[in-house]
Amino acid sequence: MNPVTYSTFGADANVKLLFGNIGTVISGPIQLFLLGAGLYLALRVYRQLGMLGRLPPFDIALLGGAFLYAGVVIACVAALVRNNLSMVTVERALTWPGDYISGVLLLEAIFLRRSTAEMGWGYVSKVWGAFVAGIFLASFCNLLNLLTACGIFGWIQTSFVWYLWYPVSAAFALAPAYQWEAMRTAQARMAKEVDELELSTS
Amino acid sequence: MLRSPRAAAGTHTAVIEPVITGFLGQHTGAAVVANVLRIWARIRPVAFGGFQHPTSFITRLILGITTVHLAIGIFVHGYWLATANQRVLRFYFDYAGTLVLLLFAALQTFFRFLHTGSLRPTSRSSWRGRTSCSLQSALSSVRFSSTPWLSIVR
Repeated sequence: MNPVTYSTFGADANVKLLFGNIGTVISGPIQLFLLGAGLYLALRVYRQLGMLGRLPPFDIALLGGAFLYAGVVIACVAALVRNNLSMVTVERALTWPGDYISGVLLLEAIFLRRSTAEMGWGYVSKVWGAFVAGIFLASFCNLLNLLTACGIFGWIQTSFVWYLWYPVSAAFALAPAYQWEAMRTAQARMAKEVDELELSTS
Repeated sequence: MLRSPRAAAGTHTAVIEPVITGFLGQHTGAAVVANVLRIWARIRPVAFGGFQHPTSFITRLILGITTVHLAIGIFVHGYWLATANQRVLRFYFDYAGTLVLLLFAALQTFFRFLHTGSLRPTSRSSWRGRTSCSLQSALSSVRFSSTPWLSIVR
């Protein structure tokens, strides 16, 4: 389907399948794990500064939903393994942790967003807001994909999910863009302060 | 050349200053206005939520591309549902969609490089950042060159 895949690996279906599986694993658990590690480092800094926020009931309910979803996935995986062991392949097994990591990511992102909520809707809040939006949308897409796979929804009914991956990617691109803008603004302000100090001393 | 707080405050000061100097006199009024403007310049970032500035060109570009791409997607999806013709849908996801996702991945990597480039080159954070940027580029390239986006339709 992908033009790059067509041009490079289009000849052999097995090679195409192999690269498809590699892409699914890399874009799933591996990328989520790296993002989770980065958000954990940021959370640790906020905790050291004593700026870690408290979660209101709505956020706790949201997180409860995310972990409930992770529990449903675990139950589905357990049922699959019990009923048909031959369906368990390495590629499938590698994609399973993605759903639990999504729950942990949501927890981290909401904590970060709440920690910066008191700062208003400035660049720093927008950085974490973009991460929360991206992670929440990705979790929502994964949930609908699971419900479709279980036969609860028809795939045409949930086909709008295909389009939601673009806002997810946009949110993950916006976060570092806001971060860079925050840094640029801070540097410009610092330079202005230094210039004013030099003017006042001279 | 630096702008003075008075110039930065713009036309509002030009309206208010004659009123204050009218009440307090030229010398005292000008001193009060100057002090108020200086205090305002200090508290403004705190009062309006940290570093608050108009959205830059690049963030508007990302939001604009997403909106336009989604709007086109609505039409493409409607056309596909109405005619069951997959050609336009495949073009949308396989070519336009892949380009949009690659652009977002490239922007993400670019801004991370810019961000870590402003750190000290010898610091641990900088090395961590550069490593994560390189990893991010590699992951994005492999991801978009190997993931079949529309496998469910096939």
